[in-house]
Amino acid sequence: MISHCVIHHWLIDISSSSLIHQLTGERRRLGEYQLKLLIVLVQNAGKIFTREELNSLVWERRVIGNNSLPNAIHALRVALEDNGKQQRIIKTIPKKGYILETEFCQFHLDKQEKNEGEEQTAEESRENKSPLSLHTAVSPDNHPGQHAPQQVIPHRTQKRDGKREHFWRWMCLAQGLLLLLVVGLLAITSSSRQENKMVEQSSGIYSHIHLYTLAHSNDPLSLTEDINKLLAPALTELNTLLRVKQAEMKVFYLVTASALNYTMVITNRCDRRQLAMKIAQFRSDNSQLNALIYRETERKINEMENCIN
Amino acid sequence: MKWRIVSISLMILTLLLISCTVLKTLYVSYPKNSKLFSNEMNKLNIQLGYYDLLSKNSELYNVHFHINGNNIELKLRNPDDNHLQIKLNMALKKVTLQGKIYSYEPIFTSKSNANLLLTNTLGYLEHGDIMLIRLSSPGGKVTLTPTGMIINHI
Repeated sequence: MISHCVIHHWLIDISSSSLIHQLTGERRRLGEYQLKLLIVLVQNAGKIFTREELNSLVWERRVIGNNSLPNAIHALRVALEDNGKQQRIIKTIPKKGYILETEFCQFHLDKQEKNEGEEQTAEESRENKSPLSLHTAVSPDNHPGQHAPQQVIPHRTQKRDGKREHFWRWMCLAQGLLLLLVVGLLAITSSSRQENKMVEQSSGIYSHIHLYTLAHSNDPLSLTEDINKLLAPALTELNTLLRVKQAEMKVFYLVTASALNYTMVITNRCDRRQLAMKIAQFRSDNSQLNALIYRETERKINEMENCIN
Repeated sequence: MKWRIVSISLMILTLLLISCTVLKTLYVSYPKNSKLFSNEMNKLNIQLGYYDLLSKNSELYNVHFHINGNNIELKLRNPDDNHLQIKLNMALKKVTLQGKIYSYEPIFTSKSNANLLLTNTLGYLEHGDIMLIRLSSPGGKVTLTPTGMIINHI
């Protein structure tokens, strides 16, 4: 059985006591104790080890200096492209010890091993007392007298990772659908909330009259109707009158099912008058409508102050 | 790992989109400081006219605005009948993306308005809030009332 443990793209090759980069193939040799320390940390990734624990697990009963462990940790960090400041992979927990972050620790099984070990692993894992259910074996090539884990069998971890990836893949799909739904809803909402605006109608027909009407109204009762067709006789006469009186008129109008809302604003150089009209039943008699518009506009024009030069 | 990152990114994007929409609706609504009415409105010489071509009735009202903070007091006076005066109060209730919403309260009517053309409008306004919509046009800014009447500003 051959299994591999990869940390941050570095594959632990126990037989050669080195780390091999998965992408570049670069090989970094590790010292005996550095390798042993790394294996201990990998076997128990996510667990905090005190200095004393590591000393006894890695160096066993040997007498070592105070800096042996920190130096070995430093060497591992350098080898794994971690550093003492960031401590992404091997972290120093103040007043506690060291920990190897599980997220950087990935296990890969060869196909053959997968098939063979599938059934065994469950039992072996059960028997294994390690909280991470890691299986270790002594390598014949390993250094004499040392129990180094040649294989780390991560069946459960792999299965869990697979499930996790599956979950996130579905989650991703669900999030994508949710996003599309939200965008769709917002688009529908914003399109239904079209802004009302006034636009000029029949531009250029009259020299002294400007007509403006409401466009894109959400009011289903409002109609877009060119009022010039209805009021052409009155407006033509009024245009002449306004020219004589040196005044300008703006008309803002809105046609609804029941009424014509017609607001005239007449300005000359010194005065301004406004009449907001609501004309019910305005379609009943067009001549009467024209007469009304003419009469009221003329009245407002006559109300205006005469400008003195 | 990558699925998790993509999923979390999508979730953040969705939440951001929703948050931005909510914030826009709540805070970037109709500009609160955009005054629909001010005491300057009295200089506009606004007159309201109600006409019915079938019954050949018509009514004219001169409008006087009195603005006090968020309250607008409107006085309608018939130039042909000094006895006919109507006073009403509008208080700003809410500012939305579409416009300003006012509550309406009739204060005073000098005589029975049962046979007035204006009665319809006043009755309609009494049964709900008034939304005034400010619109821009090439001819200047205008305010649209719920009854469809249009007031032009300077």
